[in-house]
Amino acid sequence: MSSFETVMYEKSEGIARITLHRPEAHNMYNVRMRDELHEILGAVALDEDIRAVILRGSGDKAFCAGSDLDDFLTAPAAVRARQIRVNRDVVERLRTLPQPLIGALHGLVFGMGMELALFCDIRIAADNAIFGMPEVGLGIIPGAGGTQNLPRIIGLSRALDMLLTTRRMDAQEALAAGLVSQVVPAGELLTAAESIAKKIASFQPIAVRNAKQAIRQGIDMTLEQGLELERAMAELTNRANRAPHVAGS
Amino acid sequence: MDLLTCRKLGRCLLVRVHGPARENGWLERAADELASAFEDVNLDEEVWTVVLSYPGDAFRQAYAQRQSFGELRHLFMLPEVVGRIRKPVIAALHGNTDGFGMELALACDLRIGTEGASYGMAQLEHGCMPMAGGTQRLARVIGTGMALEMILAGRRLDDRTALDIRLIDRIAAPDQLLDTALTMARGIACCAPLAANCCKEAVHGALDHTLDRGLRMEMDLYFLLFSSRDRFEGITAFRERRPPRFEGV
Repeated sequence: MSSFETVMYEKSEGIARITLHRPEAHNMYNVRMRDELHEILGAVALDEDIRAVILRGSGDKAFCAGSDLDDFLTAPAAVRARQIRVNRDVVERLRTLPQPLIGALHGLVFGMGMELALFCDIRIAADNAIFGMPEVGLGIIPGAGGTQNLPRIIGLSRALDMLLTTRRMDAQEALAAGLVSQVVPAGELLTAAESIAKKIASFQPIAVRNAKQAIRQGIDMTLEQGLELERAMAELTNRANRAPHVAGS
Repeated sequence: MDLLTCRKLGRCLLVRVHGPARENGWLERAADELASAFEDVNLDEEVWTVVLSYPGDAFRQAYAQRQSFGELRHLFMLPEVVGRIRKPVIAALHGNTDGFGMELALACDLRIGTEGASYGMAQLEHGCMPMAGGTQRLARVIGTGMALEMILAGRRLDDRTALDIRLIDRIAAPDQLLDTALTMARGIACCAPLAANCCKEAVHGALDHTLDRGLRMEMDLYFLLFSSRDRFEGITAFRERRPPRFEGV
């Protein structure tokens, strides 16, 4: 266990666990949490031992109820704020994370909490989870990928519905919409996330990373380019699989 | 009876197409009058949302009588005109909606249909193909598989199926259709209009950009909104636990 203030980080047996930890404030994302996540995600990306990552929230109330207004919304000049964002770009770290990221979502999943969840490769929810994007009601828009990831995951209509009407979804509706792939009783959420992570960690790590990359990048390409990328990734994977035997012979 | 009526109800511009009408020249007039109804909507600061209401078969008769692209060209420009509206647009569709009626609805952001209505995109049955964005927008809204089935195999969807796959976003009783659409429009108008417009732009842009470029676009829009007074009002109101008073500036 490392000594961060707003995030708990721990790894064992190839699985990293990142826990948003401000339970007294519904795990709201603040500047400190941003900086700690930035550091942690940077280290995870470089850690060859880590094969799967779980992202979750402390306490029983919320995964993350959004950004802490005190820290983000009383902002400096736009151009300065944008510069800070680029310098501490958690969004870019999430986008480029090579390992599969599993979101274990419970309670309130609002605003920035949704945006973090949307960067996960696999999302599972506790039956008490509530999802919402309240930004336009506050005169802002999502700024950490929400408008880009949401339509990719639940489609254009549902995304516009959720963002423009700020309508919330419960866990069952989220399951029907494809926002999460599994709903479990709240008490079983972590076990379910662990079992997915263990399964992934049992696979050839290079194959897992390359598959993730092929899917993530391929979805943004023409089919022709995507097929080319897949072939290149498959070849790299095969070569990596053969390498230990070559070295050992 | 007039071909269409335009009314401002609070922050909403309601455009109702009456019909279907069968006299000569209806189609050209409908296209011209709709185009001029929307001409200034982006500049009109009193209008925050648009509801476009029409019988789903309004264009069917006129469409069947004319086949040449030249004759229909005016009509095909309409979804383009609607697609360029920067404010949220809600389609209220009376009854069964087909062909061009669907293409026009797909250029809107959200769609409300009536109980018992069905939806088709079977231009192939008339020897032509969708020409007003149908082949592009349908797949973006409901996915490639179902879009191909509707266009190639002429599959019609009943109201429940259309709702399940989010071809339409709400179902209303026929006499509640306009109320449902206006209620939704009022809900959206409770949000800051500049934020809603930026949100719309970012979400539609999501499908046209790689994630990398899309995130950049979203970030720029996010920081652009720092310059709006409504952002300050939204955050202040949230902190003071009162409803915000947005002004669109």
